[in-house]
Amino acid sequence: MKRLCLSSLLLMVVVSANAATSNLPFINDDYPKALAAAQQRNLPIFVEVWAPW
Amino acid sequence: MRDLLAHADLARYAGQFVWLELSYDEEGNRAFMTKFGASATPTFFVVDFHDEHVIAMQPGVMSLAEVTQFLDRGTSGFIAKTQTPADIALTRGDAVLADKPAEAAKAYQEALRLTPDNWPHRELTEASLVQALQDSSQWQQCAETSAIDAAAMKRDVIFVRTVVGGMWCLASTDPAPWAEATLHKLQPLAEEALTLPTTVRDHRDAIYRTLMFISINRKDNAAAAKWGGRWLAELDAIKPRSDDERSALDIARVENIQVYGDPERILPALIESERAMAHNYIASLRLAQMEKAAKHYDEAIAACDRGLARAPGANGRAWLLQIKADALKSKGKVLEARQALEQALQAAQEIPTQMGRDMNISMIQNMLKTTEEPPK
Repeated sequence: MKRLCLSSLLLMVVVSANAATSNLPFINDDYPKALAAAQQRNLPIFVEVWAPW
Repeated sequence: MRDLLAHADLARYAGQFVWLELSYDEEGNRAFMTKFGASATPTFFVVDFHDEHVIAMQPGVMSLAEVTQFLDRGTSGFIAKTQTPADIALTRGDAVLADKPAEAAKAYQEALRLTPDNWPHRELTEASLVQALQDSSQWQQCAETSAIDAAAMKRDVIFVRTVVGGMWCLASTDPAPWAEATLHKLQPLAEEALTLPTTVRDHRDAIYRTLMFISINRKDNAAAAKWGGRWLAELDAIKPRSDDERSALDIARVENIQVYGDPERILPALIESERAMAHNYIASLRLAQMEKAAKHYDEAIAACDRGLARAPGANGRAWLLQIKADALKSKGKVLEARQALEQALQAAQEIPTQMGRDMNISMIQNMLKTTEEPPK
């Protein structure tokens, strides 16, 4: 896990690949859109907060 | 972690959730980060759209088994009718873990009080309790709880997470008799965790680094070097299969050296990664950091410039410029260092999250104070 303090921020990173290969139909960077889809389909929202660093 | 979310076993969950990924770097995601208080990456949430409350939350990487359990908890929490009072307390703990970890710890303790020993979420809740105690800086209770609970757990990823939390708490505290006594119980569990095939790389990294920190706290640099060397050797033996993995290996290398070790040791790997990931500004940033740590200031400045040419976001620009300023200052180029810091300050104003923005601005302002202009 990567804590968001500066000393760590400067060190870490990870993940740069996108989820294109995922079997899961991810919405990118659009919480309002996900919220609307969840209301429409009566489903909970799974959220992954990630960082390109 | 994102590779894991592409695992075929998770496809059966596709229709059970709306799936959202949010980049911490994106300005447009600021409202979500503020509302839900993500304090680490990665962090996972299951959110109920009705009132936008958190059903489940998990900071940090997870194994496939943990992701599956997390998703199951998310679906059962959404249905809600199947929740026992203990389930509700667990959900309440998850909901406040990011913002109010002390409160989360109380909710997890309540959940554990309300349940029989065979409650299916018991070990998960124990692990989350250790996390909450760690996040609220309750070092002694965290380490002691970890040592007691982990010893009785089945040896799986939740066991490892519990041990890792306890080890961080021990590494965060000053030497004390209770800490020494707890270390005697927890270190064997940490070493056992290193032997388990289910222990993910992030957890191996945390175990090695906490062993290094604890060794240094006890003024045993030889032990720190031993643990650090062992971890670097493991990392060097891994052939990365993707940029994700290459980045993760490099992060672990840099973090290792930051605890104890010679930055020259990892420069060849970082140089290779920067070449291999031609559009990744963080690869340049990591290299710049270690070049600077090795006192190769010209190389550090050049790496920063390459990183800045790779279109970093506001966070990235601010960090690269801070490193560049530091290297320039070390070369005695104070005016250029101040210019870089002024640019860093501008970049920092655009960082999406308030916490990241405030932290960077404060850091840069302090650097400016200690980077005095020469007399005219």
